[in-house]
Amino acid sequence: MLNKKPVKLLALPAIVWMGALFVLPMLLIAALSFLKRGTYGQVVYEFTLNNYIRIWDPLYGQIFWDTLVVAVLTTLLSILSGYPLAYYISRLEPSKQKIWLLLVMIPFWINFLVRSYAWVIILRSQGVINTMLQSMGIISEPLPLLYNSGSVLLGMVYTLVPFMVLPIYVSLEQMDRRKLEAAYDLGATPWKAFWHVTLPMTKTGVVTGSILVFVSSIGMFVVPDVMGGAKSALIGNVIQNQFLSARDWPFGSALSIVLMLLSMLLILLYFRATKASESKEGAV
Amino acid sequence: MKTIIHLDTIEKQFAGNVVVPPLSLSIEEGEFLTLLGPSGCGKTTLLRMIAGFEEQTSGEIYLDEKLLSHIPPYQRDMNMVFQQYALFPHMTVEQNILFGLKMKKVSTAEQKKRLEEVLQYVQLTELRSRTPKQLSGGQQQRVAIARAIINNPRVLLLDEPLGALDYQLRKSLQLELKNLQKNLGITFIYVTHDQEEAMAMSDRIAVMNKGRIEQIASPAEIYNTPQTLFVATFIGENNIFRDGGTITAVRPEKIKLYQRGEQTDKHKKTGRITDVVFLGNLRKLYIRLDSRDMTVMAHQYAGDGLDWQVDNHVAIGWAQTDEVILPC
Amino acid sequence: MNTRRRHILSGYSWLMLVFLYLPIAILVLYSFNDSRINAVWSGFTWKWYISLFDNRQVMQALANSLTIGVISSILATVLGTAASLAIKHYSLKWRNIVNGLIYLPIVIPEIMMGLALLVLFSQIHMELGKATLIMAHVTFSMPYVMVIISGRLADMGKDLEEAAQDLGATPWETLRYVTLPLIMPGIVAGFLMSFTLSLDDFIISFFVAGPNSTTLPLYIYGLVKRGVSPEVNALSTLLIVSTVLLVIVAELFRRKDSKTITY
Repeated sequence: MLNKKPVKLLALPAIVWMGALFVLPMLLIAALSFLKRGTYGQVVYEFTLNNYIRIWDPLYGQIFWDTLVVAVLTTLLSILSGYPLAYYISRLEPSKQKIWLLLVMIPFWINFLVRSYAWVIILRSQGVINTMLQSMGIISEPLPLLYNSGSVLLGMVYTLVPFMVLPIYVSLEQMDRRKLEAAYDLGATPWKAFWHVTLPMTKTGVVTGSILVFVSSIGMFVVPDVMGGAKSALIGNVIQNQFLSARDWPFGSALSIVLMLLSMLLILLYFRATKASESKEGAV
Repeated sequence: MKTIIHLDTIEKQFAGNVVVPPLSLSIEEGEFLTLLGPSGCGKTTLLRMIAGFEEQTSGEIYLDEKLLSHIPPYQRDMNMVFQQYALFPHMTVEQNILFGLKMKKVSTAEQKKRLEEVLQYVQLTELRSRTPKQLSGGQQQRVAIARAIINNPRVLLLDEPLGALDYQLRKSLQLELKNLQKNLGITFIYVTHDQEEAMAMSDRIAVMNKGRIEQIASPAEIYNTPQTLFVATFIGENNIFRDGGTITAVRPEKIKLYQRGEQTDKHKKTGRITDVVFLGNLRKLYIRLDSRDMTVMAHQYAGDGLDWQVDNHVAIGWAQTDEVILPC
Repeated sequence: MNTRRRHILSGYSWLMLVFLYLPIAILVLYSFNDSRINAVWSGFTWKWYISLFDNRQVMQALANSLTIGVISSILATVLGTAASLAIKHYSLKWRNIVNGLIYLPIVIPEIMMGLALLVLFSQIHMELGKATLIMAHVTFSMPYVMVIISGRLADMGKDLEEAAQDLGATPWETLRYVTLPLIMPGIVAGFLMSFTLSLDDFIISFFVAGPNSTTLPLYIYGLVKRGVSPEVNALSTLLIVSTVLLVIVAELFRRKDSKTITY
């Protein structure tokens, strides 16, 4: 409508801003990934596919693979540990629900770096656990709790699990309880009712949570940087390194483009898979 | 009577779908006109086009013979009472009511004077410094009306203003609204899906169906001489007889019942009573016809001395003046 | 659900809370530990906090964080609020397109946004510093502001704005007297959220900060790389406390909003 036109223009600054500082930089990275690196780390404006060919090096293949394994494991562990918590919260009375939600949300807002560092205090060789066990005489030498892939996984789940709890909670909350009652009415055991009614109906929450956790963990470099050793570097660390130490920006760009495409592809496959199983259930 | 609003072949489409096909309508000054129809019939769209919230796809709207079509809602000399009242939750009753005068930069002295008058009129003087959420539904409705009439609009538009209230309150407010309209002399355009409400308040009713006005007439005319099958069946109850190319409608209260073999009018049909529903002042009888697959409804009023029972075999008839012939 | 199953579930959920909070609690606790060397508790002290206030680098990082936080959240809130107000009036198709553009940063790995901005700033020869940090922070926090404010606007519906226009308010008067006062709690919550995000951000800042624009998280990172120390504990505790307070206040504003609207 005519009289609403001036209001519509209010989005323009934001659109221009996001175009200049988000879309344009993304396009720049895509372009950069096809350019060459000069001897002194500068960018040479010549077209090449070398950056993408270099990624096939088994060294990077291994790191990509490790990254995917960690991301998938983080997602799975987050579902397993987050779902029961979300379920518990959704069954509480509304006033308690609000408090619990806030309690789950607060760590999510606290800095990643600080939260990973908190684990270092606990797990390092002079850390809380080792000191305690040693003073009790249970162990004589400190246990290697930190700087391995286990500690990276722990740190990832720890920092990302709130991402899983919130969407699952939302879908449990929106679920039509009458269907569950109907299942009980038809003689389903609680476990069967959960497996055949509750779980399928909260799939959206699980999918949303999984995507959030997966996207965050696949590009993560803080947790491995702080809690992992030299061997537990993930692709995020390699990219960071290409940009800040090795100064090979074109190769770093190619790595990050591949990372993004890979994560989009996996999300797409995941979507497909969950959609497919949904329609199968619909047919039963 | 003088025409206050004239709609000249206005049409509304949403994304290519015709919601209101081209339609013309003249509304007279000081009348209480109701747009009545089932939900989705286009009555609210029509009202919103008059208010200026929707722009018609084609056609023109005139207010006092001045073209209104491209004038934004805030420059149209009419006010609306919204279905959920749309009271400003961050303002008191007083601030809500004064909002229109403030926007029109009316002098403070005048604002004060009119505020007192209106508060008195709708009996909200004591509640003036409350916020909307501290009021009951009926009180909120009064604020919504006060907020509109304080501006002395040429036309008041009401979009199902009683829809959110319970039955008893609705009943008493119907009369209040009708009296308010008479006393103020403002033209009311009232949208509702409740035919009883329309009957009780309106000077004229426009019955709408699928965006079209099926009939526009006084409540009595609408009831007694419906012009289309839709009007005949939407307003009140009706028996529809289809004989070859003609459709005949007869109201249940006009159906007369006789013992078999008794002398009757020429419209004689026979049947069996299948149900008798007792409703206090009247009984509804359902009669299954012998000659065809149809159930006829007849009303029997208390004190007519007859005591029909289920399974009685009866003959039915009606006076020719009581039947309405409808176009196919 | 029978009682035993309920007890197991509730016990598990409390354990999860312990899991989420215990590391943070230990970090906070050790920031008050008198001993520098190890995890043994040797008495309560404020001295690490006092030494922070004497540390010029820390104070500089704090000042940087606050400056960048305030400026970037004001910008993000103004841009985000304006965009939310406009997008409400768009047709569904355009709303989806614009929302897609603006919400995309939420689902892109943060590291990509950081390096993409680094590439941009270097291509246009912009020196890394407070300005580049502010621009980056506005970019990642604006979507969150918009999520909150668009939610408030959707709750408000269009009735109230139409009522104002019906009573003679021009679109700008409607905005000033009706829309803005009603979404104000959302705007405040959005501002606090974006301030929190800015104060907390490490990954993106890591790429676009210059030598003289170290923020608190960047400073903490430098210390963490050198190992555990009571100063890091104290500084981290300060960051945690301010985040928690900001989040709670923002949440209160957000909830206050929905109470005003639903009457």
